[in-house]
Amino acid sequence: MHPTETHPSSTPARECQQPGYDFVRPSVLLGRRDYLSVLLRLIAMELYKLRRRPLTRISALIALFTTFLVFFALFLFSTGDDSGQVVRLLLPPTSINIAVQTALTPFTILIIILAGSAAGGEYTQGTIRLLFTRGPTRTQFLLAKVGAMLICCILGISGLSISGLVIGYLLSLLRQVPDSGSFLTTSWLLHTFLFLLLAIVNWFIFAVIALFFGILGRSSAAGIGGGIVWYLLEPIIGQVCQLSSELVQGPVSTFLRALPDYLIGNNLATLMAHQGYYIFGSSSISTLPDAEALAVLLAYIVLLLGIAGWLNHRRDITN
Amino acid sequence: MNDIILSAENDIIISTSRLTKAFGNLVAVNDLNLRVMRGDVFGFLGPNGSGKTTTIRMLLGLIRPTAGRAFIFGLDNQYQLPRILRRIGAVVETPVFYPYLSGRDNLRILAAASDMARHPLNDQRIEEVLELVELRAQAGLAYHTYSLGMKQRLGIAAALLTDPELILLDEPTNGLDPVGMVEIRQLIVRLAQQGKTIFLSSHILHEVQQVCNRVAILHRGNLIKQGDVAALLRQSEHILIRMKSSAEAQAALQLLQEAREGGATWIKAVAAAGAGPSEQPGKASEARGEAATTLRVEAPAERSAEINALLARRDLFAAEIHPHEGSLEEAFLELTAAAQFPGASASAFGGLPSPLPPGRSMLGEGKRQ
Ligand SMILES: Nc1ncnc2c1ncn2[C@@H]1O[C@H](COP(=O)(O)OP(=O)(O)OP(=O)(O)O)[C@@H](O)[C@H]1O
Ligand SMILES: [Mg+2]
Repeated sequence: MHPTETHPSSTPARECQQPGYDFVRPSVLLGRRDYLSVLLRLIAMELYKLRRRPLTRISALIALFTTFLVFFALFLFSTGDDSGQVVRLLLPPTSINIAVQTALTPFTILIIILAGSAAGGEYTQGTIRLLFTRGPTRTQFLLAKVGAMLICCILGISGLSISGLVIGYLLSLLRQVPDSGSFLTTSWLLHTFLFLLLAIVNWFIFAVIALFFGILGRSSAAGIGGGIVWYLLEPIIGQVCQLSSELVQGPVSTFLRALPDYLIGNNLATLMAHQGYYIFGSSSISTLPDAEALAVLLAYIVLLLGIAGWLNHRRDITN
Repeated sequence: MNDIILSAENDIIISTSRLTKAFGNLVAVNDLNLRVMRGDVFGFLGPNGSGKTTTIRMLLGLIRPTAGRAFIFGLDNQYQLPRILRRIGAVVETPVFYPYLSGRDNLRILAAASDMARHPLNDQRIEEVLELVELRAQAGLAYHTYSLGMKQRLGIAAALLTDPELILLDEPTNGLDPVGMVEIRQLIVRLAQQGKTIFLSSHILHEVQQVCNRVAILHRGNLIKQGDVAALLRQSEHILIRMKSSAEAQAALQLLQEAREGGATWIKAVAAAGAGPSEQPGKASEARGEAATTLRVEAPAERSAEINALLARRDLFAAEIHPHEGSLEEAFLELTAAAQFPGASASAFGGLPSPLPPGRSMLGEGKRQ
């Protein structure tokens, strides 16, 4: 027969008394609920997730270790150099440049991996439905990811630059260094600050690309793959355009010659080279104006985030 | 008058109007009108693929309805979703959390996503819900090491975290061991006693029968029944009487019919058992011998003693009286069968014993593991 502990009645739930259970009044303390407070809490949450992910820790270790290796290699090369020119590279201003270039060239890929999996992973794992049923809007969740990645980029570039400075300085103590004269002026500091800022933008923009692809393809793989392909393909496209523009004439040639000016990598390189000119005295090759380059980069960020935000807002969450 | 209407509207927690979702050609949910009142423990039933999860996703704003609207707490969930979600706790399908974080840290993350401030009081709340689902001992382990039942418990803990008014649970006991199932049932009962509204989708009918006061039954996206569990159970309630011979059975049949006409209105119908219209012909002749001696009385199960007394007064002594309390399972099978084969009568399963052992549901064994 059927379970006898039930009595068909209109409200079995309330009639069924459970002695022995003493329900403590639950106490939940809510924080501020304005848009910004919610967003800040979500950014803190995203950062916490990033911090706890093994991938983040491994990435940080790899980047730090590589920076050390680069400086150590320089240190080894300096053994045979009596003029002390190579040792000077271990010290600022060049050490900053070396640290930043090390961070940018290979490790943009690390930031792409972090950002791509942060956005796509929510879909791949299915945790997205957990988040989207808690209260904050989908846009807030996306902005939180963007904010968290920006903080990651700031911390990453600063951390690696400072590490480079410290490692280079410590290694230089083991060698005789010729006096290089003073470079520490207010203007130098300002340009160095701008240079670091651009390095951060460089990472950030690829983080945005990875977020975009991660959301578009609803998977970590799409985010990481899309970001890396973009990163690797850009220089190739630039080259191809340059080469082929010489082979054709007319408007097509003009178009092909103008196209590289709208690639992310070229604009970033231009901006950084301009600052580098003040800091390291490196020669600046590009004639592109700074404002235009910045506008192009901003347009990319707005466009990519706009589309990602729209998709994120509109789409059905079915996984 | 207006006040009455208003207060009634305040008590409607979920109401959907013609809610529809189509995935391409497939209409997963069709024209659904649900109504869940404050304090209800509402069972949401239906075979695999009938659209339960799709409905829950629409209620939570995870997917957009193709047509129709859903109101929760009187708010339109298309426009006021954040306000609604802050008062809901939900588990959708098998819950998924961040695998590299412990159960406790996952709840911390959700606390932050649910506007909970960083405060010792809230840490205490996390411990409370972990205790409630008996996961506290394993709360420090990484989520990816959890068993299915532990994951399910963590999902329920997450749903309860903010002490919400409305709790949506999509097959919450899926993957739990028998003890775990009983515990969750008790938890649901306790939550209901606190005045929470609970929306429970499930395949396990006896579970629903034990905890729910109202149910809706979905079949291929269509609502085929919505109402009180008690009323539904009363529908399939009856008493079987086996007499010693078919002559006595005939006499008893006549007697009971007379009694019914003579004022015993609680007897709704009397018939020779097995004479149902849907009976297969081959089986009928086989069963005739027994069927001819058995009567089926549509009457409340607790009236069997009265029936016995009625018969005894005319020297008719039943060999066996079998009061049959209704079960949700029978009602469900009957309704879904009727929906599947509209030609068949609603009492297709009427006189036949349930093809499955009681308390087991053929739906419960489904696709999941
Ligand atoms: N994203 C989707 N795309 C296409 N069809 C879908 C999608 N999600 C659900 N469906 C279809 O909608 C129907 C209802 O699915 P749903 O998951 O709501 O069923 P359910 O009642 O929850 O079933 P179960 O008891 O097995 O959990 C199914 O036929 C399913 O195939
Ligand atoms: Mg389902």
